[in-house]
Amino acid sequence: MRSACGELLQIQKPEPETTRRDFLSVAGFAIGAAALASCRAPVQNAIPLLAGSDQLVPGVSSWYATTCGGCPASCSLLAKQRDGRPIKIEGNDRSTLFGGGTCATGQATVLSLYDGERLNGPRWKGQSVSWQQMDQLVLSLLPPPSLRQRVVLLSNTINSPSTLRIIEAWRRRYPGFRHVTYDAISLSAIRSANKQCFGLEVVPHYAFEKARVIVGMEADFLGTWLSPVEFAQGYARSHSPETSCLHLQVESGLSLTGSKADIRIAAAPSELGMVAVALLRRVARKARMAGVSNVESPIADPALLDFVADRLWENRGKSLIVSGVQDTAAQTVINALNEFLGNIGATVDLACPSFQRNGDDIAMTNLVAEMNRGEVHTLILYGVNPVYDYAGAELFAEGLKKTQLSISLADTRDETSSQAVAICPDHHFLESWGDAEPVDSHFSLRQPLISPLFDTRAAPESMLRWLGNTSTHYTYLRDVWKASLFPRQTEIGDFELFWERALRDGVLTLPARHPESAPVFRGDWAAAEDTILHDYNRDRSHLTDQDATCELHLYESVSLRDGRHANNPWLQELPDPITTATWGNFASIAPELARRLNCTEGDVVSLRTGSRQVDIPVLIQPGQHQRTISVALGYGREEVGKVGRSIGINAFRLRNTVAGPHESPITAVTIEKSGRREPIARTQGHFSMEGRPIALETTVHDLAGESGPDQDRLPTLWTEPMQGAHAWGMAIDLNACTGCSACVVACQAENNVPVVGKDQVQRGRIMHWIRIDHYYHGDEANPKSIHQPMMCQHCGHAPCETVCPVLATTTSSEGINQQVYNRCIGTRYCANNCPYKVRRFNWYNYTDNRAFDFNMSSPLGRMVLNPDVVVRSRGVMEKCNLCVQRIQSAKNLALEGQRQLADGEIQTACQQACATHAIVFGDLKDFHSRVSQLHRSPRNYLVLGELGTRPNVSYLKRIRTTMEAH
Amino acid sequence: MSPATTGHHPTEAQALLPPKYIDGDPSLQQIAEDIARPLEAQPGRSWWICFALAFTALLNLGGMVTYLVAKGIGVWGLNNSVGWAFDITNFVFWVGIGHAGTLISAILLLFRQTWRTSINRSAEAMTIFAVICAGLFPAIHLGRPWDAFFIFPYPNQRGPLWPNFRSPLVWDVFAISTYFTVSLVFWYLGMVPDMATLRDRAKNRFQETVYRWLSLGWNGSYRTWARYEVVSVVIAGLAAPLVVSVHSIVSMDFATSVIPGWHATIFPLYFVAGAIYSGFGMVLTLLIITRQTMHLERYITAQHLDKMAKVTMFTGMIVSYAYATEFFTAWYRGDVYEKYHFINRAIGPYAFCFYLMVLCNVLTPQVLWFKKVRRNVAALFIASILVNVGMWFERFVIIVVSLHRTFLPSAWGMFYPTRIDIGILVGSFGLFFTCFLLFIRFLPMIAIWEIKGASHFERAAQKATHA
Repeated sequence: MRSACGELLQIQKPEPETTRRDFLSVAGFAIGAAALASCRAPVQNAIPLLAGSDQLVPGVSSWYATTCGGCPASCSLLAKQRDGRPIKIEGNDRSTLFGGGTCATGQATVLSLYDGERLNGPRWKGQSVSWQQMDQLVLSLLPPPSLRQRVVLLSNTINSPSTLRIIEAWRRRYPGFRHVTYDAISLSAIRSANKQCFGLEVVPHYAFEKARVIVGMEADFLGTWLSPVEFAQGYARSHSPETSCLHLQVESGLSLTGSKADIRIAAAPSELGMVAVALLRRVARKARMAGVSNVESPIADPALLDFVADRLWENRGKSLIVSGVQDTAAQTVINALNEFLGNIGATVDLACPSFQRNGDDIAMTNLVAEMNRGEVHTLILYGVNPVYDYAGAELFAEGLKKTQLSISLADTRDETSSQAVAICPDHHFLESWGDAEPVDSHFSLRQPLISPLFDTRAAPESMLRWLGNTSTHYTYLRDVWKASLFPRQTEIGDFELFWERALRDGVLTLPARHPESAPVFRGDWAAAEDTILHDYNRDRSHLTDQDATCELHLYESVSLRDGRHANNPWLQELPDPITTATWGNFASIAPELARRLNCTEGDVVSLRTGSRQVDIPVLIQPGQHQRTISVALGYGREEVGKVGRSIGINAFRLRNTVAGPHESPITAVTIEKSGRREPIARTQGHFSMEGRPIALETTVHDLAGESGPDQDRLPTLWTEPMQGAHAWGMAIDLNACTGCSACVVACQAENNVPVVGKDQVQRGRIMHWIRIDHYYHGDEANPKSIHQPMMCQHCGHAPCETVCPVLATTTSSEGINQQVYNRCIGTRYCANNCPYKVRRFNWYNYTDNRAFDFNMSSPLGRMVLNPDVVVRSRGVMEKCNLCVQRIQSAKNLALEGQRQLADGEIQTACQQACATHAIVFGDLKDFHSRVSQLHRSPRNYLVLGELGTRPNVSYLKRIRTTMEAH
Repeated sequence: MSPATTGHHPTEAQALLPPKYIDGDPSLQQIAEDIARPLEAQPGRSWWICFALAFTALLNLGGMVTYLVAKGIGVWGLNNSVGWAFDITNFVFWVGIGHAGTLISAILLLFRQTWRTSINRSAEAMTIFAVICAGLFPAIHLGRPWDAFFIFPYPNQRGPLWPNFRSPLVWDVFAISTYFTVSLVFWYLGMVPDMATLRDRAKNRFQETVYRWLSLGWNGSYRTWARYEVVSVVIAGLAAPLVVSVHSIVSMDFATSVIPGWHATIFPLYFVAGAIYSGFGMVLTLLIITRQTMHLERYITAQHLDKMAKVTMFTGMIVSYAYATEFFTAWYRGDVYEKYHFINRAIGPYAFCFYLMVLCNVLTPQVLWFKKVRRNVAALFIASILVNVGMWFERFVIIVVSLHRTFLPSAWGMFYPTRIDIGILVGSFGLFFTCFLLFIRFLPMIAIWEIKGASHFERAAQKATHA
């Protein structure tokens, strides 16, 4: 009642005094206030240093020597640190092994540091725990040493002296301890063959720089095999245009190395041994060995083999034969060849071997058997992912469940670590201390550039803790160096000085451990020959001439390698140098097989080996052996971050169940068209030069007749643009370029080039500023092939400049064709009119855009960005600017020092990354600069120079040794 | 000479007589009635259907352009190899369409071709709307359309920083904006006496006010007429060179480049001929539609269609000649890149576009040799549509086929249109037809005063003959 009365009273009240004007003013205020309240400045998570460091000047980069953790090759690096963040990887040119070069994978490792999906702290059975709890749990479960229970450390190749010392301590502490080294891509056949032939179970150190004649057999030593940066560097030195050199590659699928070879033989995996035998017989006859069979090999052209054998014999002690075939008999034949040619001790160093690939397949096989018998109590997994990459992955996973305690020291989630009981995540290598001895007595130090981003702990430190050793990894490392390396040198008497210098240089070379030992060849090469012949005949009858039966060839891709870098978007988007495919793997088949199967690129086929089957799109690959199907390893990861998940298929699943050095490496595979299609995202669609003079090659013979570049420039109506003190230019040596693509990633890292994803690559919108063009010429079954790095040519009379309506692209007074992002309105006219098609348009906003969920979409991933280079917005054009930020910073330094810029002082990112020094940058106005000299070389030419574009980037012809030239 | 004079004995008086371009003998009152009818009556069902279609397409255009500007040019099918495709194809297509209007209204005026009187108003309107459609594309094809003003030479504090006067895109801006301004002024000026007529016929105050403003106080005095004639001729004189210059400059977007298939000196002539060809195709399409739907057969007679068909045929043959010349030059010059380009045009992945273009632009004009075809409205309508299709594909061939395979084979690519590409093309037709349908609804689509003048002149001439 009362309430009703109240309402009544209210209703009877006079009209409220709110007029329309009042309402409007109140509403206006309210809307304004709401709008103002929502206009909040974006929150910036910039945290100032509480205490400044005298080594850390804002805006000034510093460089620290460290060691790459991308693969066991352990290249020495210089890492650039800016405002407390490592942002760029470069090669350490003080390294006598690796020079200043890096590989694409190494370049990209800096991005993995900022991968938000790395393991962010210790986990026990999936639950987050503290390190203290973790240590207690592990120590409580580790078996007491007295019980002699099996404790196994399963790791990939470890060549770190300090870590090996820790492992030694474990061995002493636990009588049942065993260290098993397992490499997904193993070279154990080389080790076992060397044990048989020389009594040394090692992988030799190969000296490519001393080899004038090189024969490679299924060993992609310029791309992925063993130590590609080191080998590429040596290869380029021995293959200088001045020397007459020869490189024969025998392989089934076209590899980077095969594409670089002077002569290439396409041979199926089952035929490789036969080619080696045929060569060996020729060489053995020359070496006057008794009992050499005269039977010809049915595989290769005898005249070609005679030619190669002649060259090998002429260059005794200066030749090298390497093989990646996982077959002891074949490796014995290779050893015999190197022995007869006098290469042992010259180009094949067994006394100072390589420690870059120590995997032991038999030990791994035994371990899996033991695990399945329940004999392994504790399994520590370090740097391995056998659930993904072991041929008997299911068996391994079964065995893993039977262990009492499994501890993973992985730094990222992977198929194996996700099944371990305890995950004790390791640092990224840029966060940790460490050392490496990639080759006997060649040491490389690793130092952190940033404090750990997550709650991780260095794996060696974890292992120390569980031994009860409380010292930090750093002090332990230092002590190891003090105890074992410092005494081996006499140069510096004070350890502090020694350590300081080692830290600064990053590398240390000590006298060899066994310099005098010259191994004696005791290998039974005749028996090895018989084994090969026997295996070949067996495989022949095995692989009957059924249409669908082929041999399988699995290889490491230049970008992802064995798959550990699958979550790195730079590497996923790096075009494979041979096929230019990105984001996924494929089955390479020969054009003839494609015709027989009626397949076109992108048709999905089923590959079946025994009971295993995968569905994968095909790619028609010139030079592919007709009865061999090549598939890249490293794809098809499932337990990985969002970038790499389910990209491609896991080809490790197709491997022989039991892989070992005594197992025949032949895998028969049947291929069947499925009818589905899955397009492959390639960045290049046409591989013929169509007879155009683009990527040129010549022979030593022809070069002698050439007088040098035509100095007569075409007449022009334009004024000379380069009025400045310098004229920046570049020379790219096609003879040195291997196509390894390290420059592509280096440029991406230096210049903040965005990743755009598979769909955009398929649409032809890759953003890379430098690309590696690949052309074939000649016979489709085994073509000649050439790589050509292509970036902005910095034309003196640039077609792009005249057409831009707003002057957003101009030539600087120093000859750089510069792009003014702020002025660009995005007509794309410049890109249309660019004869080299090197301009890249921002079709979308690639930064902070959820549609492009790669590194630039998260604040952590954006920490890798180079603050010297602006991040481009959508709608503007971009392209190579010859690393103008580097030029500017070098100029500033010269100005501060009141001196002239020296030649070579400025290195562009692509140039720095190049292991073979194929890219040379410098001042064309300086007559004596290296680049000026190269521009005057008889091999020098301009791509499309006849258009009158006057590029400041020139190319040097590749030199090819042919049979006909001799 | 013209069909109207055949069959008579040529006499002195007849030789001076203009041919008859209006069927029947409508009184001056009747002419005004007939032409003003669509403006004053409620539109018919066919108009509403056309308008609904066109307006839907226009709304679609609005939506898609909004999406484009919000997301980025990536929603189109362009890529690193092909930086222009539908956008600039549509631009050149629409600019070309416009040319016929100016040719009819300005050049034929200067040449005293009285047959143009019935069609010049709608042809000019077509020019205006086509240039509006054309102008849309350079604006939206920019990566950053909000910075489009950078292209204008305005005083600024950056130096000052001017646009790049060497760039044909800057010339385009001047050419198109001049063209649009002159065309608009000429079109509007042409309507002023008719506005006065409509003002006088207005049935309500609103109409009267609007038409009074638009008629600029026209009083029909002798002096007004005298000045009016002078101004018309002056502006026609200004507009006439634009017929040649605008598309020449558009062609220089391509001709000044280095790209094989673009870099050709024949382009200005070739483009102007193509523009007039396509423009006449479009005028034919539009006039056939309007004369049928608006029942203006008396004013837009078979003779008009016949004349336009002849111009179409003539310009079509110039275009065909240009195609042949391009191939000849590529062969004669012996340049490997250019040679490849033309082989690729004929047998490459876009060969079907090339053959469609040949079918529409080389073979179609040949049927116009036959008077039967020229006098058959249905056949002419089909031919005019083919001309439009052919000319769109011509631009597509020039732009996309040239770009997709240039100098370095490593950078070859393909362009596949996306839904947005096609939607915006359809939408531009929506914009064009919406404008045109509104025009025929609200403005006199035939110049009343000119028809009156012509018919009066005819009548006077006939009287003179009879006497």
